[in-house]
Amino acid sequence: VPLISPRVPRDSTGVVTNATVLLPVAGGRRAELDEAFVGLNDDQGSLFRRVPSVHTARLEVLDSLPAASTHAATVPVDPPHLLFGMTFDGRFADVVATMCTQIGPALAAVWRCAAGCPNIDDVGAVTQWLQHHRVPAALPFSTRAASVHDIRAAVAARDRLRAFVVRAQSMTNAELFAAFRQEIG
Amino acid sequence: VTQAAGRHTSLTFTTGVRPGGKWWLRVLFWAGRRIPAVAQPLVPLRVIHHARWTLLERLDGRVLDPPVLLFESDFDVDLEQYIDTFAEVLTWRMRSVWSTSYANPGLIPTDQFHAWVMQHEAAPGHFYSAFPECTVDRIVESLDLAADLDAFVASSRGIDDADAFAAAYRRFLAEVQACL
Repeated sequence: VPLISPRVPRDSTGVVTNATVLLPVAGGRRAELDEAFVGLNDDQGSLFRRVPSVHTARLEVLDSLPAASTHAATVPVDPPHLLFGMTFDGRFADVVATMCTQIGPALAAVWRCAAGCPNIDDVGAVTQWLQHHRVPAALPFSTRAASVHDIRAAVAARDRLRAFVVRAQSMTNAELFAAFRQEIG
Repeated sequence: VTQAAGRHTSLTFTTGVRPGGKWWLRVLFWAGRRIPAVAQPLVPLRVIHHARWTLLERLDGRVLDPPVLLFESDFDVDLEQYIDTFAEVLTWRMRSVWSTSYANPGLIPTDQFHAWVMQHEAAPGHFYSAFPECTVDRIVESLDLAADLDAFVASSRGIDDADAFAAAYRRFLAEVQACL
């Protein structure tokens, strides 16, 4: 482990990039958000699976914030804020563009509850709007320094090798040699 | 309420930072970004996928009083185990971050800290993980194994004899057994 890390952008751990966006909820639309969140799932799970460079995504609501009190009190935040957090590979603008293309209508239903949401078809305006409300992380951390693509490939390689090892137990050396070359490389 | 996707739990919580605390946190987080030894103990825990701390001093241009420490994380265990693990292994690091917050009940006993976190959680909406069934352990092991496998494939490419290959293959399996 080096003594000093190379300088990287504040929202990056070197490979994975973080984004936290805080959007003010438009007047009277807080209740709509819960319904809109449900629309981000279909029968196979979260629609974010269609955005290949996203590691994680979260949408939550900050209805209250901590008070300056020693009694653990919170005070309502007016307006409530929609928190949109992501860890992803590549450029923020590219990920937003893919989201707008792949899950635009479902995301638009959520984002429309926030003040100032532009037309979802205008990817540039959406990116600019999100970027405007983005807050930089003070300290990001990831245990794994690898892209979604590399992790998927590694997990698949491990599964393939595990299956091969089990089958290869009863092979002769010649069969093992031929099968490994054909199936693994 | 925390959110879950498969084996992953997601947590978002906010605490109010005491006067002076933001200066300490700025220094601490700067050190965390530039000096690997600060955050390095989190790596071998193999519990956290991602985490980030954000210091909010303004919201929509308005000054926040108190400033808010926003913590977002996703991890493999439930919240109680997560806090217990941190309290046990990273006691002073946790204290150095959250002792700057109002109403911090102290880290130990952890049930009070857990209750404090629950009081300050964001309202859940939606959570997605690209690898909902993969623990950090499995991902790290897979990445290590994939690199070793690539190296073995490359190094064994010159072997033409089946018996020699089988011997090399068995040596390779013995080396990577822990990752299988």
